[in-house]
Amino acid sequence: MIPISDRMLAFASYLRRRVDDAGMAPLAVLGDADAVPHGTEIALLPGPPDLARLARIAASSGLGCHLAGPDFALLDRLDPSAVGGAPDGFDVLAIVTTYNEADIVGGLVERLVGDGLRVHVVDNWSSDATAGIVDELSRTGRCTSERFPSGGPSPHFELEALLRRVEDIAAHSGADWVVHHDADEVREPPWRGVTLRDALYAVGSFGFNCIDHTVANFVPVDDTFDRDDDLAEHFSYFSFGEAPGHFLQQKAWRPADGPVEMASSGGHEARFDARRVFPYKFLLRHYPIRSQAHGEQKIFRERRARFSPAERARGWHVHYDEIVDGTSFLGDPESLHDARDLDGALLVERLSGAGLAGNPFPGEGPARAGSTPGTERVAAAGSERVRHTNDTPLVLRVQSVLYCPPPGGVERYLRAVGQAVRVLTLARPEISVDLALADNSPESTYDADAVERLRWGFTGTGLRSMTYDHLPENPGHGGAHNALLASDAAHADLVLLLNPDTCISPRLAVELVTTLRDGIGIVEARQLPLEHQKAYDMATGDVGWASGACSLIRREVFEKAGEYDSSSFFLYCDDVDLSWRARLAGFRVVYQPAAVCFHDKRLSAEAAEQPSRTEVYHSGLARLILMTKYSRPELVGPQFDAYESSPEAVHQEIAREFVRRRTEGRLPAGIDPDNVIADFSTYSYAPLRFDYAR
Amino acid sequence: MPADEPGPADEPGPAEEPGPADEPGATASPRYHFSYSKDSPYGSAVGLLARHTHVPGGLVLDVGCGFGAIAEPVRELGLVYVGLDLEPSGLADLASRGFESATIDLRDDASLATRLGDIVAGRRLAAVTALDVVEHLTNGDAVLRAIHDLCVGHGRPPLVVSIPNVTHVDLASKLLIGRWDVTPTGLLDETHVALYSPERIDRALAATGWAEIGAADFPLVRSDQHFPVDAAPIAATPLRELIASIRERAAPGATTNQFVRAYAPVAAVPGETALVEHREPDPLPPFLTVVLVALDSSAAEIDDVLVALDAQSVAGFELVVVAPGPSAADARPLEHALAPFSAGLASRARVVPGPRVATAGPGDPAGRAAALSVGVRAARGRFVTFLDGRTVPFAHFVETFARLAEQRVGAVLRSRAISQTTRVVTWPDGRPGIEAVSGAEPASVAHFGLVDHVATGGSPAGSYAIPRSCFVDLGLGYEGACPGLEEDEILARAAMLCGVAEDRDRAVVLGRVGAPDDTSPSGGGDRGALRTRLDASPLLLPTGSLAALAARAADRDPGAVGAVGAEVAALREQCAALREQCATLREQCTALRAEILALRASTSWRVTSALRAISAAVRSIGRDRAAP
Repeated sequence: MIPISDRMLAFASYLRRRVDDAGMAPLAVLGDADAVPHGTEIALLPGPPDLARLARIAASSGLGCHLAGPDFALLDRLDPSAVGGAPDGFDVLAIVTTYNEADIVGGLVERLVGDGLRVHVVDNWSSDATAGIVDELSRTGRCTSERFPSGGPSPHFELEALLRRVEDIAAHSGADWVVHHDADEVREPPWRGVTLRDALYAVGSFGFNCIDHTVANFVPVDDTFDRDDDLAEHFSYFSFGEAPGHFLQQKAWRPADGPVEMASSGGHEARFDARRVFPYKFLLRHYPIRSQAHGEQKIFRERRARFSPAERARGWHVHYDEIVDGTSFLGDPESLHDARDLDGALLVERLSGAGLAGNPFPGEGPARAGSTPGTERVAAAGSERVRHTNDTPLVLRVQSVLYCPPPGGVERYLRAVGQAVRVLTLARPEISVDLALADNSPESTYDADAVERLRWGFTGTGLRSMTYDHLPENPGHGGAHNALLASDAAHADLVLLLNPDTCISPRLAVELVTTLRDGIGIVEARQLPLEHQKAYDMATGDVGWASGACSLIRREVFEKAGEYDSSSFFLYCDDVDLSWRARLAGFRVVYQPAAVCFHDKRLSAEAAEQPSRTEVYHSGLARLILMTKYSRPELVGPQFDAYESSPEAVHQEIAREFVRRRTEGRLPAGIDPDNVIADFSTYSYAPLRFDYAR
Repeated sequence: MPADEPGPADEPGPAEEPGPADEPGATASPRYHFSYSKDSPYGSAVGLLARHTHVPGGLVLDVGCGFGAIAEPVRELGLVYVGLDLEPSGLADLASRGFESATIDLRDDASLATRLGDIVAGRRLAAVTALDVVEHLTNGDAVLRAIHDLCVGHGRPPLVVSIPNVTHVDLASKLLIGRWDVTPTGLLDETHVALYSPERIDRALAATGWAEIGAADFPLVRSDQHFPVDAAPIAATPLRELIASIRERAAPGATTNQFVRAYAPVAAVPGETALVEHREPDPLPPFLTVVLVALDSSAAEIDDVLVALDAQSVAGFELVVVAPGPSAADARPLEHALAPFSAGLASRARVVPGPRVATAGPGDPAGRAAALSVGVRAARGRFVTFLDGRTVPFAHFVETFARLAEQRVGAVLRSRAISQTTRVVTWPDGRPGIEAVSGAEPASVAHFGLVDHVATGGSPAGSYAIPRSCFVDLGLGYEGACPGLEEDEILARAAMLCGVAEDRDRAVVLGRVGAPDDTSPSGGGDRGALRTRLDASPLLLPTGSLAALAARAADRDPGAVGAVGAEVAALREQCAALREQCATLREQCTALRAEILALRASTSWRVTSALRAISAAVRSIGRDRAAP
C-alpha cells in the first residue's frame, strides 16, 4: 500500500471540491490499482511518480500527465500544449490598482505588456511618483490609466468602492479575460514554460472561466532591492499566506460569462452565476514589502492611517494590526520557503493551498487527527467560505461499535459515512466531523495498516480524524460507546450513534443536524428497508425513544441524563433507557423520517424475522431489567413467570440470570417512580403504528 | 442468384445445367438466365431505380449483369442500360437485344474504378446495380469500394444491390435437423462464397462508404430451401411455429429471401471491416443492470431506493435511472439526487432521458412500458432488473441474483418479494413523504410456474432479473402491447425460453403497496388478454412440467391432498438435511475467508486485482452480521 500523507489527503479533498463544483467526473485517487474509472477527467496518483506506470495508465485512460511533483502525479486532459498559444486577437486586460508603488509600477507594466496583456492602471491618488510614472506609460501607449475616485482623494482607502470600479471596468472591457492585479504581484500559471496569456487561453478552451490562486508572500532578507529590479528574480524566500482570505483568490475571469461581483468579498472572490473555476490554482507571487525602509514607510506611514474605519469594522484591513514599531521586515531564509520548491516539493501547496495552516476548507487544512478544531475554525469563521452562516463551530462525532464484522460489511458502512460527512461539511462548514470506532471483537479486526487503509477511504470527505480502539474485554454496546465518549478529547457537541450494519444516506447527517434544534436532545432517523414500527407525533416528530442504531444526540444529554447504563444493559434496551432518561431530564426525543438509514435487516420469503438466540436472550433480559429500573414491579413479576415457565431453554436462562443479578444486588435502582415516561404498553416500549409480528 | 424460382418439390434434383462451378468474378452462366418479372427481386431492384435515380437518360451500369434481366425495364425508365460481366455469353445475348455491354473482371479490383470510369466515358451516370453479385466474390468489399469511388467522381448516383439472406427461417429450421443443402441456385447456391445476414449487409455497405436510402427486400415465406416438406421443422407443425415465432421476434428478415437495397455514396465508416464479422463483446459488462423507473415516483421514494442500492453487499451492477420525461429538466432532479453518492453509486449510475410519450396520467401503463423500454436499451449488464420508487431492495438483492446466475447460466433469475402497505404523508417538518402502515407480507409465489404465473402473477417487478440476451438476441421488449401485464408477459416469454433459477428462501425486494386511501397507481391489466397473447404460439414448458401439471390436477382432487401432504413432509425433511449441510459449508466458508484475507494482503493478490474484477460481481460475499 502506498502510505498517504495528510497533505495528500488534503490535496485530494481540494481537488474533489473543485471537480465537483465544476461538474466534472468524480476525482479518481489511484492507489495501487492502475484502473481509471471510465470518464475520469482528473486522476491523482499519490507517491513518487513511476514513469512506466504513468505511461501505462495514460495509454489506457486517454489522460495525460502535465503536472507532477516528487510525491504525486496528476493525470488529466488539461494539456496547454495541445491547445497551442493564444491567437493574435486574444485580449487579456490586467486591471492594476496602485497606491504608492513607484519602485515597481514601471517594471510591472512593462512585464505585463511584454507578456502580451493590455494594462489599465487605477491609481488611488498615490502621493509618491507612481502617478507620474503611470502617466508617462499612458502617454507612450504602454497602458491606459485613471485616478480613482475621479473627484479627488478620499480621506480613507475605500476598498469596496475601488473594487466596484474594477468590476465596472471589467464588465465594459470587451476583453476575453480580465486579471485583477495588484502592483506588487506576479502571476504564474501552473505549467512551466507557458506564459500567463497562453495559459488563460488554454483554461478558457478547457471550458473554465475563473482562476483561483495560491498566495506566496515574498519577504526581503536584505535591503538590496532597487527600483524596477525584477521582483521574481530578486526575491527568493517566501511564506504561504495563512489568512482565510489567502485561500480564496479568484482574481482572473472571463467577463463575457456574466457580471462579476467581487467587492462584497473584499476582492477575494469573483462571483458570477456561470462560474466554473479551473481546478488548479495559479500562483500569486506577492511582494508587499521590498525592504526594511519600504516596510516602515508602507505600513506605519501610508497604509494604517488610510484604512477605512467602516471597512475595518467588517474585519477587513486587519492584517497589519500585529505589526508594531521596531518590527524587522527582513526575514530569515532558514524559516522561509525557497521559491525553487514551488515547482517541486511545494507543488501540491502551490496548486491547491492544501495542507497549509489557515486553510479554512474542510479537509483541506493541515493534519487532521489531533488538531483542535476551535482555533482553526474560529479563524475560518471570518472567511468568505463560511460568511453566510453565523453558526459557531461545532464538532460532530460519529461513534460505532463493531463486533466481529464480516469482510466487506464495515467498508460499506464507512463509505456511506464518508459520503454523509462530505455532504455535511460542504453544507455546514462550521461543523468538524470525527469518527470513533470501538471494536468489541475478541481479536482486533484491524491492524495499524488496515486502519490506515480505512482512513484512505475518507480522502476528500472532509472527515477530520478517525480513531479505532480495540476493547477485548467486550464491555457491551453501551459500555463501548461510553468508553468512546470518555476518550473524546474534542468533547464533541453532537454524537451520531450508528450501527456498523448500516448504510446511511448521504444527506442523513445534514438532516439530523438540522433537526436538532433547541430543546431536542435526540433525533432518530428513519430506517430502511423496514421502518421501525413505533408511532410518532405527526406534527412535532416527538417519539417515545430513539433507536441506538442511528440517532444523533446532543452532548448535554450525556452530561445531564448520564451515559449508557452499561452495567444493566449489555445489548438491547440501552437506547430505550437513554432516551427515557433524556426525556426525564427535559429533552425532547424526535423522529426525522427525512433522514434515511439503511439498516441491513433481512426477512425470510415468508416475511418473517429470524432472531438469533443471542438476540432473544439479551432482549428478554433487558426487558426485565428495564421494567425493574422504571419502577414497574407489577410488570416484572408476570414477565419473569412467563420466562421461567417457558419451554424454551433460552427463556429459562433469562429467568435464571435475572435471579442471579437480583441475588447479587446488581439490578438498577428504580427511577421514574410516577411512571411518567416509561411505556410498557407494547413489546416495543411505545405505541405502534403497525406490527411486524403477525 | 435470385431464389424466387419455384424450389424443388422435395429433394433438390440435379441442376438443370449442372456444369462446373463458375469462375469467381464471372457470374454469367446459362443456369442464371432468369427472366424479368415485376414480382421478383429484379422487380424490386427496378422499383428502387425508379425511385432513386434523378438523371434522365443517364447510364445504369449493371455490374455482374449475367444475361441482363433488368435491361428492358431500365430502358423503359428512360435510362441507358450497360451490362458488365466477364462471361461472354450473357454479353452476347445483351448485344443481340440491342444493349451496350462491356467486359469487366471483378477479380481485378485495383483497376476496377478506372475501368468503370472508362466505360462511363464522360457520360452522365444515373445508377450502378450489383444484383446477386457480392455473395459470389471473395473481394466483395474491394468491389464495393471501387464502385463507391466511381460514383463519388460521377455525381454520386445510387447503388442498388440484391443479396440472398442466409438467416431465412427455412435455413434455421433445417439446421435443427442437421441439414445444409447446397443447391445449384437459390439461397445456398453452390457458388456463393460469402453468406449474408441483415447485420453483415449493413456493416459491409457502411464500411465501403454506402448509406442506405431505400429498401425493397423480397419476401418469400417458403424459400427454395423449404424442403423436405414433411419434416417437422419445415411443415406446418407446432415445432415450426415455435421456431418461426422465436426467429421472427429475434431479428428482422425471418422470411426475407433477398435483400434488395439502394445506397448513396458517403464517407466510409472508419474501423469497420466489410466482410468479416467482428462483433466485439463488451469487455467488462456489469453483471446486472438495475433499471430504476422514476415515472410516478416521488423524490422521497427515489431517495429511499438509491440509499438501498448504495447499501448493496456486492457492487457488480450498474444503475440506469430513467427520467420521467425526455428533457434535461426531467433528468436534473435525479442527477442531483445521485450526486451525493460520491463514493461509488454515482459513478455506476446514469440518468437517461425518459420516453416522449403522452400518458393518460400517473399509473398509465403506456408510460411505464415506454420507460422500461428506454431502460433496456440503455442497459449494458448481462441481466436486467426493474425497480421503481415503490420497490426497495434489501442489501442482498444484487448478491442473490449473482449467486443464482452462477448456478444456472442464461436463466431468468428469480427471488422473492414481500410487500408492505405505505401511505403518502406530510412529515413533521412539512415535507411530503411516505410511511409504512403495515407489517410485511409475502408477495411472491414460492415457485414460478408458467400456468400459475399467467393466471395470477406472483412475481412482482424487482424480484427477478432477465438475461439481457432476451432483449438483444431474442427481440423481447416492452412495447405497451399488454397494458398493465406486459412485465408478466415478458417474464413468461423469457422464462419459457431461458428457464428460471430460483431462490425460494429469502425476500430480496420490498414492494411498497399504497394504502386503500392512497391515490397512487396500481397494476391492473387483463389476464385473459395476456393468456390469449401467449397462447398465440406454442408454449415451451420446462422439464418436469407434466408432473407438475398432473400434481396440479391432483391438487383439485380432495383424495390427493394426503399424498401431497406426505410429499411435503418428505421435502421438509430434505430441507432440514440441506440446512445441516449448509451450516457445515458455512463453517468451511468462514475458514476460507480467513485464508482469503491473508491472501489479499499478499502482493500477488494486489497484482492480479484487475483480472479478478470480472468475476467479482458474481462472487457472493458473506452476509453482513449485525453488530450489537
